[in-house]
Amino acid sequence: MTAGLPALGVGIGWRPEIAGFVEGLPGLRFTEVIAESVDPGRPPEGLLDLRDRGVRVVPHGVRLSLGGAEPVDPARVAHLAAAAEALRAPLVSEHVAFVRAGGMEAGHLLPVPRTRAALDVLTDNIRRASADLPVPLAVEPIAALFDWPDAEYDEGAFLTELLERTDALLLLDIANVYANARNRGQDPAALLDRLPLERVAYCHVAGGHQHEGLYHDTHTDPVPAEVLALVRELSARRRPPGFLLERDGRYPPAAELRAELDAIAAAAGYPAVT
Amino acid sequence: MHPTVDRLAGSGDTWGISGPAFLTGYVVVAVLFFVGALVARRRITAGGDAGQDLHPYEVAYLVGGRFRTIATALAGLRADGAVTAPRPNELVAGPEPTTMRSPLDLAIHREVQRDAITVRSLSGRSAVWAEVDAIRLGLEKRGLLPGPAQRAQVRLAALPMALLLVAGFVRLLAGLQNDRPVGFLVVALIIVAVATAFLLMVVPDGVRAGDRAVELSRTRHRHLDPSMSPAWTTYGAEVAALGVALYGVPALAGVDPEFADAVELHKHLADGGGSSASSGSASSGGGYACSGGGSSCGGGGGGGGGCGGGGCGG
Repeated sequence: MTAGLPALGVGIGWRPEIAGFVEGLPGLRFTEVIAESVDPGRPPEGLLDLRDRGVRVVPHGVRLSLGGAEPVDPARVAHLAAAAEALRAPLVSEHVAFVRAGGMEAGHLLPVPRTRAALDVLTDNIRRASADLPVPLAVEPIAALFDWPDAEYDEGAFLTELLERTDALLLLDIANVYANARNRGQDPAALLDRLPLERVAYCHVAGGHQHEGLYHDTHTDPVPAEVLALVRELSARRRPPGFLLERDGRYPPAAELRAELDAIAAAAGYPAVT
Repeated sequence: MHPTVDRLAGSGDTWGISGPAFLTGYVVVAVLFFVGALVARRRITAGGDAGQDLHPYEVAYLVGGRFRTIATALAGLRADGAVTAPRPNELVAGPEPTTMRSPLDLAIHREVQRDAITVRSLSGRSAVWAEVDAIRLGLEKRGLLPGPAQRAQVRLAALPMALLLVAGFVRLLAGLQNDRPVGFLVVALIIVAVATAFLLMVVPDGVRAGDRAVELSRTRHRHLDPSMSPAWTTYGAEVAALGVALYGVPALAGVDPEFADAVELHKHLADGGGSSASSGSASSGGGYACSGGGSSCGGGGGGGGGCGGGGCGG
């Protein structure tokens, strides 16, 4: 178990579209909300109900741009901190990515080159953000359909060094691990060997689909069997405190979502939440 | 006005009671009766237990009456794939409904299956009316809508006021015969007549338990608020119907905008939301008042000369 973190079990991302489904899961102990969508002064009532029920709500940032060359925006860090306070979150999470550069918004999470310079920038930003956050920060490497040239580290070494330099925890996206390995023709399980699994706060699990030979981590498709197999593989090595299903669109009937949650719970060896 | 004469209880006073004394007593009793009637109405319209589990169509009826119920059922059947609208203003049956199988669902599906029809003619089919009536009766039985007994009791609560009005008229006629001043009495009578008319004609459409049940359902299902863009595929047909029952047109547009446009459900939902429920019982309420409280109404009309018509009409 990751130091200082509670066991979370299996959860699903709270989205307004499926709020009723998420709130209706009897065994739910853990959910995640897009931090930027939360007004800390007035969080959605459904989330407050979940919080008061003892469900751990993790604000998940998407706009902090930890990998950007500019220092993180203190106002954005303050918002993330306020969201964490309002939801009594045990931790918050953000991406190892940049979303703006030179004042231009990319509108996407862009991958950071695996260079020493990028590592320095990330380290600075993560330390700055962590200093102003009331709870631990977990960082999530993103799926990349391409690699920047001149990488000085492989993915495992880059992340390991980043976590060593900062106090950050790791939010490991299993679907990304699968997507990256598959798109590069590597073995996804091999990356698991190269990551500090004891620093994993929780994992994301999501669906995707193949398009023109590449696997896209869409969050709008069912979770493929290969990703579930990787959940099983990871749990056999060192079971992370939690697994969170990310679904961001083309929401299926409730029965299908429940089946996915059950499949993740079974693969991870956690109790079913449905 | 002859105040000096009025103030003396003399042989000239009608029934041996001076005008000011009668008027004071009359006004005090009128206020007591009116407040009493309001208290009685409040108790009659409390209703039953608001925390009961309601079917989406029951919620629809409580929110907006018949037409909202039928529109909600169509939304549920549409979400269930049992009804389509391939051409504007025409309903066509699909396969048997799988989740939406209440008597109203089946009645609508049968009617649409018989031949493609418009929403308007569907609403007029007796089989459909009968099922909607069954929903209303169920709600009355569960104390979430006022039944005939409650409506009668509400009007009965106006009886003391009506009797007081009659007594006032008798006094007025006697006063006129006695050639006494009656100006203030006429004003008091007009006010009492208006209050009596209000008590007889304004019969609440709902009971408080029904309103509270809708409120509870709205709170419990706030995730169906169209501002959340609910994922109807995830929630399923019955919950989609509940969303339309609670939130009307915007919810329906989220379930299936083409269907909503094609069958012009917004008209029915809009009608149902505002007028149909209230106009339904308000008009029947009006009719009821004239026949039920006939004597007082007639009395008022008969004494119309005395009250100058203005009091009764107003």
